[in-house]
Amino acid sequence: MTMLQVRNIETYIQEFHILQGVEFDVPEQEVTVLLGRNGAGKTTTMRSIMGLNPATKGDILFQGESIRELPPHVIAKKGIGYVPEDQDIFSDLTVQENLRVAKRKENEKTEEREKWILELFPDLKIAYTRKGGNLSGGQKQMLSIARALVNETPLLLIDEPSKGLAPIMVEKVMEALNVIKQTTTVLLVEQNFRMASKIGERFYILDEGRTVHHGQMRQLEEDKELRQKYLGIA
Amino acid sequence: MELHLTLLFNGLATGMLIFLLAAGLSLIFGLMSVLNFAHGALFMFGAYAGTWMYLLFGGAAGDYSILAFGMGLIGAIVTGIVLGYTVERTTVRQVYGNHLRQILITTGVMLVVGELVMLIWGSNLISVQPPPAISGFTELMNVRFHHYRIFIIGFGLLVLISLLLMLKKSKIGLVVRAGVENKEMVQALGINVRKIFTFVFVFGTTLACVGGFLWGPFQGQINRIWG
Ligand SMILES: Nc1ncnc2c1ncn2[C@@H]1O[C@H](COP(=O)(O)OP(=O)(O)OP(=O)(O)O)[C@@H](O)[C@H]1O
Ligand SMILES: [Mg+2]
Repeated sequence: MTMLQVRNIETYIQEFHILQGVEFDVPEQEVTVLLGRNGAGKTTTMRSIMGLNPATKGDILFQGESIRELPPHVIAKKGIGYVPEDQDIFSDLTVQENLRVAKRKENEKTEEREKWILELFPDLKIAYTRKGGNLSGGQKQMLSIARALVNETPLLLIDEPSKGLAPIMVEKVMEALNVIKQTTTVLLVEQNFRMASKIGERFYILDEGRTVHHGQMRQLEEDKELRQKYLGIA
Repeated sequence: MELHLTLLFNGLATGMLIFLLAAGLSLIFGLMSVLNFAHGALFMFGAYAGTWMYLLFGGAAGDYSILAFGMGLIGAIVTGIVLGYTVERTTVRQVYGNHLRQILITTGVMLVVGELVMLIWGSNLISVQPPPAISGFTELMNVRFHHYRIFIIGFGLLVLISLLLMLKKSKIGLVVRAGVENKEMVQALGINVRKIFTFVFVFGTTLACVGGFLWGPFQGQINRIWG
């Protein structure tokens, strides 16, 4: 089944026509990667799915149901976790409190999930009572992912988790994502091609607010020309 | 020395009342960045409604007991809840994110609420005294400690501590603090920020109304000029 269908959406930010026809599918139990140059519209696409920059045309179906016109908190409650590009950790709150704000129910199940997440990110366990603002970049990224996963989350949206992280942190986050993807469908924006090709199955390329190409990640690894053309990398 | 103590003591009591007024105002501005010009008028409305209840119950029993005073307090709280909810739902909600419109619309609310007070309670001064149980004073080292002022300081401290505890420990307090920092992210976590806004506005208005009610016996009278 298809977890998420994005059908030809168009999104304006103020008067700017940012997305002009973005289209892709995110199949269940897979990692789908969105690629594209800086300013291609990847983040805006994520925000449109979450309802933070609502799409004015086209449609977005989550588990077969249209969510295009729903407000962000309703979309989140349907089971979509969002890890934004800048992590958006609540810096005045501790790690524990960041997770508590996210928990929609405080019961055994969410406690179990939190335990699982903290095992996935031992760094967070150590920093549990530290304020978000005092975490390292890598720890913030881990917390942002943990916060999105603390509720039942069939679909996880992650926007450039490797951005600005030291290589060792990128490794740690990747390892965790490899575990997460076994139980969660993932839509990943990633400029770090090596990382993207390691965990992604399927890719879509955005350019100037449009989907311009898609295929299996393996094909892209072999196709230098295509990478050169849309991503500017060899 | 005595003078200093007296000033300090009176300043504390006045400060607590101002705290009740300002806490709501700054919560509303901090979380929602709403410039609320009506806050003073809501404070005044609370003062009138609470005092009216107090005098009604106190007068009926003829003793202005602490019980009647409690009824006044409840009156101020209920007024704050009803008024805050109504104002947020009907007007403030329409102007989130637009300071100019906030100023215009809350100024409008200020005028309407002021006129309502005139209409309901008239324009005369209303004198009001603390209930006998907490009036009078105790003299210590030549300084008069008015019992009502001690009560206000105690009450203010209680509110201050509960507010801090709420913001620090409770789920809703955490959500409010998170919302002050990043509204969008709170929404993206599945929390209806609108509801939180309404709650904070109602809460802030209620604090103002309670402050208004307590101010009356402190001054010995209430009048319309406060708004
Ligand atoms: N608030 C805004 N106001 C005006 N234009 C914006 C705004 N946000 C984004 N844009 C524009 O929309 C386009 C797409 O931006 P977006 O952030 O979605 O790109 P991106 O693919 O995520 O880029 P990056 O790789 O740099 O993160 C860019 O041209 C950007 O300048
Ligand atoms: Mg981006």
